[in-house]
Amino acid sequence: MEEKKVSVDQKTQKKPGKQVVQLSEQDLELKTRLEQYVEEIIQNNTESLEKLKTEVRTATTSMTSVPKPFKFLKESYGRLVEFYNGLETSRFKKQLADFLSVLAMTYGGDRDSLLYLQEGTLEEFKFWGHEYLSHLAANIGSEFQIRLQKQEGADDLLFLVDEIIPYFMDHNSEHDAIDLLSEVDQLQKLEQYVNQVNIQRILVYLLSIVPFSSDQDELDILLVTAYNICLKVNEYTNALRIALRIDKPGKVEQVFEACQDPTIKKQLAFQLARHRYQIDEGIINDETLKKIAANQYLSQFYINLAKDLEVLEPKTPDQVYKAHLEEKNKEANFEQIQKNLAATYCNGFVNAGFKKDALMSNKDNPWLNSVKNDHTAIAAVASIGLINLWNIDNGTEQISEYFDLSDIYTKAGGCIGFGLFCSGIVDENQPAQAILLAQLESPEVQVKIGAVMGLGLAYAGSARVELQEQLISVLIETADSVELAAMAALSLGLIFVGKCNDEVANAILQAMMERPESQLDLSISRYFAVGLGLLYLGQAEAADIAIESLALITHKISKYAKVTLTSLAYASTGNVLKVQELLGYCSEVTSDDKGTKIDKNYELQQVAILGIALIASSEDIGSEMVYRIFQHILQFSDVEVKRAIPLAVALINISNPKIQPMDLLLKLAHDRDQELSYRATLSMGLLGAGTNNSRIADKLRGLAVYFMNDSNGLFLVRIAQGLLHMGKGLLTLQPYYSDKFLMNKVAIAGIISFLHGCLDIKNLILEKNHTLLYYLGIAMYPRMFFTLNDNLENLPVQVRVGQAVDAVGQAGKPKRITGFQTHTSPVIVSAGERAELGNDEYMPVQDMILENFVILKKNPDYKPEIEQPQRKKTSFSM
Amino acid sequence: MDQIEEEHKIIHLEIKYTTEIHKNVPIDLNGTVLKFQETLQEILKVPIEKQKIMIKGSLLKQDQNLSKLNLKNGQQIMVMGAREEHLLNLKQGKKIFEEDLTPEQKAIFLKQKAGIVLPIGLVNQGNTCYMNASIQILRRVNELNEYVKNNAKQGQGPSVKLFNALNDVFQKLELKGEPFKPLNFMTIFFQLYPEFAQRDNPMTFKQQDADECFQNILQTIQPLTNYENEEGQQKNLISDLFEIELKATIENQDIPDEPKKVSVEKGKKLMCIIDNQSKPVNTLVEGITVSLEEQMEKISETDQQTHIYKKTQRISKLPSYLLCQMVRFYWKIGVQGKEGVKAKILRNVAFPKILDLFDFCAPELQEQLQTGRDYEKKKNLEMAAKETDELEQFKKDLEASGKMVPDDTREIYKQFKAKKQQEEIKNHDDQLYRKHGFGLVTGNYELIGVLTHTGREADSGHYMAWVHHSGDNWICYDDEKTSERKIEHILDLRGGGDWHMGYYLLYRRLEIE
Repeated sequence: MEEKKVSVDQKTQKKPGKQVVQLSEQDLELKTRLEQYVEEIIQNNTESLEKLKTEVRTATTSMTSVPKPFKFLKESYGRLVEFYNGLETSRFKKQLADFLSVLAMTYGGDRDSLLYLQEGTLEEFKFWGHEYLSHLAANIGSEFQIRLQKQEGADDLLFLVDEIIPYFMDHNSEHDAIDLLSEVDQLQKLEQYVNQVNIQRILVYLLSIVPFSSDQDELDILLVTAYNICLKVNEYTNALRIALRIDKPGKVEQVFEACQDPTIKKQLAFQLARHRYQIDEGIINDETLKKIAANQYLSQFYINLAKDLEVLEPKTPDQVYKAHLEEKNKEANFEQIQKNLAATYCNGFVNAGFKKDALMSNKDNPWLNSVKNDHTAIAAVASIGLINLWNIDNGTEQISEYFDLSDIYTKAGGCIGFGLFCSGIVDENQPAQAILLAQLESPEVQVKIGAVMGLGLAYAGSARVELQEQLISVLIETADSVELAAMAALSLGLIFVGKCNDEVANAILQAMMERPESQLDLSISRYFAVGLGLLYLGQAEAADIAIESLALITHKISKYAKVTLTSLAYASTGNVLKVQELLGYCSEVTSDDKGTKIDKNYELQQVAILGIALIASSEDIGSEMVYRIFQHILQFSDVEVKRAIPLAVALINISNPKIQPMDLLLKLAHDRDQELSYRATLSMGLLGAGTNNSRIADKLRGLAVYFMNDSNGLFLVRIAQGLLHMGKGLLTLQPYYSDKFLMNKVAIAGIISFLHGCLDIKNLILEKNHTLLYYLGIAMYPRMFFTLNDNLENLPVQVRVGQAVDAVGQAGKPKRITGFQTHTSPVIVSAGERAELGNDEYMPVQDMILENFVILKKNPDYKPEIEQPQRKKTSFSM
Repeated sequence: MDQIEEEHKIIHLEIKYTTEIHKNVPIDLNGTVLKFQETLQEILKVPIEKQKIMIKGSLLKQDQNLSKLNLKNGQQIMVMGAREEHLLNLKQGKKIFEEDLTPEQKAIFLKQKAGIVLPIGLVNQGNTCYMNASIQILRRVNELNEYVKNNAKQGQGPSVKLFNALNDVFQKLELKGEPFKPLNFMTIFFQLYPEFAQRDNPMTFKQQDADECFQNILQTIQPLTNYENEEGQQKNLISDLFEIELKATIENQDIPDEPKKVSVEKGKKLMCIIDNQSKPVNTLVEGITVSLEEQMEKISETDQQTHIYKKTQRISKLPSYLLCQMVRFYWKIGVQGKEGVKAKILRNVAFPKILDLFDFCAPELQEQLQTGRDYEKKKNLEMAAKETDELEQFKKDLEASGKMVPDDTREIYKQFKAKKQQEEIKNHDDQLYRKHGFGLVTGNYELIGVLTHTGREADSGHYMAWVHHSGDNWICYDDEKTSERKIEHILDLRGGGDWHMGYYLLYRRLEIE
């Protein structure tokens, strides 16, 4: 403290040297008066202190810059401090301390305000206004940190906090209050100050600081506080949103039990369905609610959307390729297996979920005749699953006969297809389980693989225990092919995604240990690692034990698994330490002193790069930074490492066709390294998946010409084109939603499963395992916004869709979108866009982010405008 | 009590089959599964063996006891299975896939279904690129190609063997579908001309002159290409196709009165002299001029003294196919005791797409040609005049066909031009493949094949064949590799650097109908 006072004195001493500014008469008078008061105070005049305080306080009320009394008291501050230090303890001294605390805001050192305040009366500090309290709050924050380090108690500070918070709350300064509370680790106290009025501002601010929490504990406190305050003021939709993020048992159910309003419950059920959260059966009794939560409305509304936008008619692959626009088109004289296979996938992706397609629905001229009787037939039959996505009734109708054919490949395809259309839909008869478990008894390995994949697809994220035993027995049976076991591991990973199921984890570890090294060398064996990783998706430290146990495996796959596990466990956490750890793998020396290359595990580095993208993908700034890291790798690394970049770029920008990554991928697609160019081509499809982006479409047509004499390259271009026009532009693969606040684990799992397959395109995707493409099916979701009435009927209202703007912490009611267009709902919303209701006639049944399904109610305060703006029809082009 | 329980054994279920829901379907819990399936067959029309009944995540099996399933009244169960009428029509044969066909099957299939012959290369057997290139050029002479393919010869002579070997090579080039080694042909050729079989080392043969190879092949098979034409005359195909008749006039430059000596020479190629000291040669026409008009010294019969004579050769019979050899190789005499070498001139000599031989023809022949040339001029004028009418007709056709008619006249004209261009390519191709002797000769020849050499010396380097395919498209045969090229690339093969340069040019006579 001493030092500081000295510094103050020095400042005052310097003063005379400076030129004195000419003061106006009024100011001069004020100055003299103030100085007089100070003189009197030093003469122990209590009254003068009061007068001085009043003088300062009255000035404070109308301040914009530093108020004049403060300015003029600058020279007196040192004298007052000196005087104060010489005083005996008395009420007068305390009162003076109060005043000094205020002055210290401008002239004092670090935390001086707080120091004087605590020596003062503590009676009137709240009257000094907002600026003073903000300053105090900052002082308290830094003092708290010092105490924390010294391990001293801080009750006195907490007392002050309790005094300050209500003031902030009453004066539209919720964010200051939240900052202060989180500084002093008292966030849970927020609950008592929340009411119906300030909840919105509090919640927005609370959730916007979520990505910046430094560790898991802080994050937990933040989320739980937000959850509690939502429940307190009956904000169920927001509470549920946070409960889904917290992802702890019981939280979701608690919201449901707390909510009594049947309409809001419907809304909640829609939210559950979007997240694929399977709620305990006892919680929901109502049939409609059950149906909503079971996702049984999805298909119906999706098709309504297509009808509304007039894109229901099936599209043929040729319409997608627009081959006539390709510069040169070689005359095709033959049916080519690979060409037809590409058409199969393209058709599946483009017509996904529409129930009707151009190839498989044609009964007179079956497409099955146009594919070979091998893995291509599997793909063909399985594409029925994509076409009937989310629609069990239609799916079973179209796929049933393929189970009756004696051919093993159609049966295997049937299994995968069955899994696909059951995916995410809950039906109490559990048809997927019934049919696929029966097929698991088949003597044919191919059919078993199909059944295992189908189960994984159908029950992804369901944690269905009934399947655990059966799949584990397939997994650890070493007599069967390694492909079957690897797929079983993946399916288990998908079913128990993020559930940290130790039993399953141990079984996968056991399977890896018992397999001979030669089998683990096979490319498909990587799915043991992926399956294991998915179990811990997003569960951070929970994966540590599994990572340690990997050391027991001597084969190099254990390293692969370790990196996979790390990246999946910290997926979308933005954890910088983990990014650094993974970067460490990428910077291993590539050559020794003499410049000869060291034989190293490039695959490991590729997984690490994928992992970095995964960890950073949830949040925009992180994605930007990672993108820059990738640029470095592209410039300085070996080509083997570079090969992972296109996939990683696609992962952070999936279904979000920004120009920058698009150009990068296009450049890489023309790279001399074939594998790199293949991956970049496929990644372009992922980048624009479901957007119909005309720029990418154009580039892909160019690539089709580029790959004219490379059937493999052309195959990948065709698939990328299929992905680009996925669901005729109505679908997205984006696993993050709700302002990137929530992550759909199943979607992430699906994308990751596919991307790991892309790490060896030549041996997997271009060989027999192209069915890995179907894992993208579980990541698909319509990028739509439906407004419904209470009876779950479409309620057409005007909706503005525009570029989202960050308006967190801004005063008043800032615009949250820019460059918008007005459409009549239902509408489609692209990545980075946000929807708003066009007018106030209706409002959401409860405040929430407008996406997916939102139930509206009449706004009681609505006064119709006299002039209705013209209604525009959604413009949509294919 | 028992009775009541018995009654309870019949309950009603809700059956879900695809999008249909059947309510109140009775099931006797004491009955067999089969019985229940029969009921289902009646309602759903799905054969029993195809029914898959799903109850709470498991399939109903034939031997299961219904009463133990805990079924409740009104419970929904799901049935899957295809009805007969929904079955796929899979009886039609599977499609044929390109990947499943051997290259040979593919080539045969293409030839039969679409009449397309894929360009197939020949594998180099150790510096035999001269031979491969010669064969590819020779094959473009479609009359010869057809004749060789369709007339396998009987007999044992070496030339018969060579002919048959060539027949085999031509057949394979059409139907083999993949590059191959013309091993048999090479062996027989080497037997006939052992100088070609010299080796540099045990592995490879010496590089040889493609011209010699080409001419040797023609010479060997010539006796075997006699045929009888429609009028019953005995003809020889090789002479019909390649033989060029030159009338040489030798006149004494010093004594103009000395009687000119006229003789007729026959040959199978025209030479294009490049190495000309007095006047540099830049084009094919210049080179041919040099070779046809030479000066020589000769002892005159009149005064027994040496005089300068001028020998002028004029064409008196034009061949169907004109071979032009760029005389790029010559024997460089060794100086200072060094051995002489076969050297090469890299000079840039341009050759045209259309070669007009009118000026090289004898006056009698020129007269004949003039008729053709006049007719061609007239025809071209007519064509230009007709174009406006054709455009009108095209517009009408377009409207009649009911397709979208573009508003823009320029757009229509563009479409019209495109169509016209297609027709022209077709006519042009026709002109370059059809049989000779049915139209008027104009003295114009069009380039259809170029044999090139790259490298600085005659004994090394690489030969390639560039052969016209269709329209402006050419195919480059680089041993087993084939690639498509445009006419612009071909006309760039004129030399002057280290790139491939024309050595042997094949022109086809144009006839106007």
